[in-house]
Amino acid sequence: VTAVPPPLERAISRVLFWGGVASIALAVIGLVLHFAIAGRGHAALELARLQHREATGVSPFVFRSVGEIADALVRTPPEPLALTATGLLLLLVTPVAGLAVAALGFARSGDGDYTAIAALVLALLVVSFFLAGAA
Amino acid sequence: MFAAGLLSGLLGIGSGAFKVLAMDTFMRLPMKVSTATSNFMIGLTAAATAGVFFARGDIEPLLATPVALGVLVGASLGTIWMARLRNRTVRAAFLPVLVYLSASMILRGLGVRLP
Repeated sequence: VTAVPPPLERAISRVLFWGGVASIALAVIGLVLHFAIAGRGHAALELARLQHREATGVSPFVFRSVGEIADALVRTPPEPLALTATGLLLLLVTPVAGLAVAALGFARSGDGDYTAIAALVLALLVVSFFLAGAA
Repeated sequence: MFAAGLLSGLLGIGSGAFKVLAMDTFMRLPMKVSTATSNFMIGLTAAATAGVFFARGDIEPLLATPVALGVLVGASLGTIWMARLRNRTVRAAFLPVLVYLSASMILRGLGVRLP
């Protein structure tokens, strides 16, 4: 007989699984579109960013902020690699989302100690993201 | 756990092996619980540092995507496999990993890098 996991474990498991699947799907779609466009001889990257990156010595394929990704996605035509970067960013925040679900679950069940621990780890992660963005 | 984090930071290796060892040996948790907990914790600790690497422009999408795809498929298969194995078998499978890591660290200290 297979043991049925409690609702909280099931919810965390779903967030982690579907977060992983969605992020990899986005990243792979972006990569395939990138090579499809580049293979047809069209520019897959914005020229201005390419020139700026060449001047600063940073890889033109890299995105360093959410703003850069958003700009590349809304541009006409959008940069497929921005979709890949969105997927990678989603992969990065998926474990954090799992922790947020755990914190909410602990709070709902009235487990004060574990709610506090989960909230503290969550706060540290959020602070680390902000510090990374500010650096 | 503090020592595991400290050692991984000092030696530049993933702390998963140390965490599993600490939970299995000192906390006497079942091997499957140790590996599953370690997996979950690695995601969180990696998220904290990956944010910094992302902002620095160190995450290359062309390279990171195939790596992430391979790891996701491997991890999914490994998890299904682990659920069917006994704790004793998982522990036996973990031994060569520890031996390789130990040898790798010692040799790195002597200036030799293993593949």
